[in-house]
Amino acid sequence: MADTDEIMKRLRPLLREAFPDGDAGAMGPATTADDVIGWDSMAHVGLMAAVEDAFEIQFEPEEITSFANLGELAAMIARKVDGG
Amino acid sequence: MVADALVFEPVGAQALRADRARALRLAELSLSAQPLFYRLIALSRDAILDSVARQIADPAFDMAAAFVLRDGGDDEALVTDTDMAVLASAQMAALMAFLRLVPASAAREFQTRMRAYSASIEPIGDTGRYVSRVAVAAGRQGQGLGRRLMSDYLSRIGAAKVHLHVHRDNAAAIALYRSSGFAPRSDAGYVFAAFTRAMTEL
Repeated sequence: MADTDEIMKRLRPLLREAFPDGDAGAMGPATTADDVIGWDSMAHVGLMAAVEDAFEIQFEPEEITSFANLGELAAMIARKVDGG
Repeated sequence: MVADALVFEPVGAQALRADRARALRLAELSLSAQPLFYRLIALSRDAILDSVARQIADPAFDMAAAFVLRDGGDDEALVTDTDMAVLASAQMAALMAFLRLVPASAAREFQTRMRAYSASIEPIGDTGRYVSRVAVAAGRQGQGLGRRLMSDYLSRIGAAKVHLHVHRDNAAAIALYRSSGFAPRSDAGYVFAAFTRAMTEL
């Protein structure tokens, strides 16, 4: 089972890249799109594409917007990395 | 006279998966409905057509429901729609499909272009159906197919509210939508103006 804490750590540089105006250091599992400056739909799509590359996974179209916060995103990544 | 041979019918994803030539034909029609959008994508026309062909009639994308006017065996006009409630996520799914194909070095430019494009589209904060593409084949324009397509579509869908965007300079399309009962939502002056058709209580 992939560790969601570890995934959060690996997400951090991707978040910094996707939201250059946001404070990636302050982002945690409870962070939502509304909390982050510059997290619009285009930045969201960019983040998800970067996550696919970094974790070598592919999201189903409906998964792209299926999480409420970064913790849920990390959990979804963990499931997919484990082949779930 | 011309309209008598035309048949209006829905197209399913399964039918398109089984008939690639038809899927590509509908993808061509879809591209012709949004030339400015697809021109922003730095991919070959074939790559874009291939991706769009797989998006038509797929519930995850903004062309979730697709209907055509057929004349004999040929698709001569296309209208697609989706539910307003899922429009934003459906559009993101489409952007993601293209972003995956764009080289990493061009990803930033893709995002910049798409942001600018989005800013030219009047927001619609409403419920109902959203018409995502309307297209008539190049050789069949000016023969009343657009009017027939919209009329059959609106009867079929029977929604209380239907929305769409139209380029402010596209006088022919604006005339068609007005005569089909659509009216502008505002005079805000966006490049892509939002029009709505609200069914009136009888």
